[in-house]
Amino acid sequence: MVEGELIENDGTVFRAGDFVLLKQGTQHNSRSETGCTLAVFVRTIERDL
Amino acid sequence: MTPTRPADRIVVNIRDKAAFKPFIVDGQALPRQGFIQLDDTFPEGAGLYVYRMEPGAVTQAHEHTRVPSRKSRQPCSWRFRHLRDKGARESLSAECGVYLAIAASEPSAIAGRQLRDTTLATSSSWWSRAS
Repeated sequence: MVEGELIENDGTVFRAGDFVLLKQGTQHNSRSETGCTLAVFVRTIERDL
Repeated sequence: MTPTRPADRIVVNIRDKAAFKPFIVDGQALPRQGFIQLDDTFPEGAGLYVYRMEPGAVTQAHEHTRVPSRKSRQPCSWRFRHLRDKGARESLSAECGVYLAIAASEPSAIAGRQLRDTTLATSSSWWSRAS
């Protein structure tokens, strides 16, 4: 998380400075009430649900 | 030490709102969010990129996938569903492990806005037009 705040569908909140690894097979979506910027690395394009 | 070529150094500024491109899912831009692709050795939406969400943005639900092997090919059902529906067929890029649609019978399908907005138009080394 570069800046701002991100809220996961299960309520988990990520804030600036958090470094997050989501393992393969994980499914989620996210929302941001205040706006945010993320640096993302994924090996493959995610599969939309 | 070998000097770094300009093309090998990619610099973006996350404060530059104009640098962000719309994130396309099934031919539609997701509202209030965009991205800057840094690593051009991956298709857009893979590798390293910066993702920006404005207040109120909600992402598309998605699954973090594994790199598919050639033995585990799956139907093209990801971001290219709209192209498949227009007569495209898919192939697998061994280099990046991502399914790519290849237009087969409808040249208009690869000349359309949807395709320019997706990976394929900017990753010409990874796709080819079927004869």
